[in-house]
Amino acid sequence: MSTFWQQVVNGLTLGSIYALVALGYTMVYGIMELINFAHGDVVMVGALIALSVSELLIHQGLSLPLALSIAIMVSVLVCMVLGWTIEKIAYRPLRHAPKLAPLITAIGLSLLLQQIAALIWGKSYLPFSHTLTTTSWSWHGVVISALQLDIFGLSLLLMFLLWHLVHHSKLGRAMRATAQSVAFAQLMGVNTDRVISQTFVIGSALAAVAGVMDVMYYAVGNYTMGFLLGLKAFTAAVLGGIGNLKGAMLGGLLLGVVEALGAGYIGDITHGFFGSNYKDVFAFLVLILVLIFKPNGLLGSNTQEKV
Amino acid sequence: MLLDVKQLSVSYGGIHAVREISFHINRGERVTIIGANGAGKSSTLKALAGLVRIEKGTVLFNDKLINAVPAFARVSEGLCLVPEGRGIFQRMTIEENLWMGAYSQPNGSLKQHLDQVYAIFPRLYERRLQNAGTLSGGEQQMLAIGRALLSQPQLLMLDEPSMGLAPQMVDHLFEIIGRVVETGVSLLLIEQNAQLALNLCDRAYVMDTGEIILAESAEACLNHPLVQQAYLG
Repeated sequence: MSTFWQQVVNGLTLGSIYALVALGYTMVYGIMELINFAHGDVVMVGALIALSVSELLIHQGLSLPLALSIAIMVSVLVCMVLGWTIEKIAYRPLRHAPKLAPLITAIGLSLLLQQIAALIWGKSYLPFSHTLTTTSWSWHGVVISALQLDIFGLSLLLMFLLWHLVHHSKLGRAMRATAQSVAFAQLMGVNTDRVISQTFVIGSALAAVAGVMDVMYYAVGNYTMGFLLGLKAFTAAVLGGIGNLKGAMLGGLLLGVVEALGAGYIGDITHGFFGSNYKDVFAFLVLILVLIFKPNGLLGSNTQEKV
Repeated sequence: MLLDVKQLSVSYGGIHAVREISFHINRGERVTIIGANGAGKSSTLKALAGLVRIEKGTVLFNDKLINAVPAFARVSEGLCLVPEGRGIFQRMTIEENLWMGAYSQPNGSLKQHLDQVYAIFPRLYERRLQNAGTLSGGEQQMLAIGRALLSQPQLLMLDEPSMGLAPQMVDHLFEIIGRVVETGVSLLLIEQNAQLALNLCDRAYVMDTGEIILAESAEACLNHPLVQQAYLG
């Protein structure tokens, strides 16, 4: 039984990273019905910047926690600017174009970001060589590390803040109004272009944090890391019901747990024929099952709450 | 003059919905545009609100040319449109919808203005924490008008407020619209029910296939053979 709970703990950690990224997908979809496939690559940029900045600062003699804190802030700022720029130059000119045009643009943008990252950071895997903390707690054979708790706690905090922003602030109301109808929101005096920009900026900030978490958790980063992570987060958003904030949070956590349990048990189930390196299969198995049996997602419906 | 429209033209994909119409609204005046479906009434309102592009002509609001002012910025200029179908945010609460109405206003006086709207529409106060989607059609129209008032409009534009409402509700609604305009806000009303519109308003324009074919006082319109024949039946 301890394997089970251990994998649940691992899955929740992973899932909280997915959830943060899934929120970015779902917010942009909610507000403009666009799957921003470049979102995963914003995560990658956030991760690699945090990696470089923290290495640089540690090299300068700063302590690890301080270097990391600064690195997170730099990476969040850069990603916010990146998200704003992406919307401005890639999507805004296509606001009234057929839906396929921005979708293709998104894929092109994803490749562009990867290639730029490859030029800056190279194509090899970049290690994060500093041991964050060795603190961990054990309970009936289930081990929880401080890093896992940090990741999980920070994710929950950010999700709570986002929830509060969307439901109890003027900007959040404007976002929800814009998601329901751009024209009606404009009639209320909402500058919908600006609200869409702000949505991208917020989503990108969450993506940056998720990227930093990912690089800390796996201790490695690479210019292609955003692809798989983005696809899984997208799956999580679809699983919860795309366009639905709660759905993205739930879908992310659930997908993380499914993946971790799958990785933990696949060897036993197949008598060693498949190993835990097949863990990525589970996300897509989930995606296929959702699309077959519950295409609107777990919390999605015709009256879903968008943004 | 509050609103001065000259030679306004609006086109959608090659169709001339509005052709070089000119009209005006004085401060405090209640004006209606009547006409058959497809006459270009809604297109005119949308062009004034900034939702569709003005192809030709000029729109002066408070002596300021607003052709190039984006839709959202026209709200703070004092122009407010309640669109056909009401434009309620169904998945937001009634109170949130009202807050959206005050979006362009400074926060300071919100509470007081909200209370004023609740005083006019007590039903909205009772149900303020419910989703607006749960309201009946008539209540949604009340909400749309109450919400519009929160933007402190100088010109309130209503597009078919009676649409889809039961006759009793329509009477009640028009009584309320009448009370609202008593407060001094100018009104530009589009209404299928020409009788109701003409009874409420000071002046009327009759539109047909994108053009204004008659401009008269409401009273004169009621007795005009063209109007009697075509719109009062």
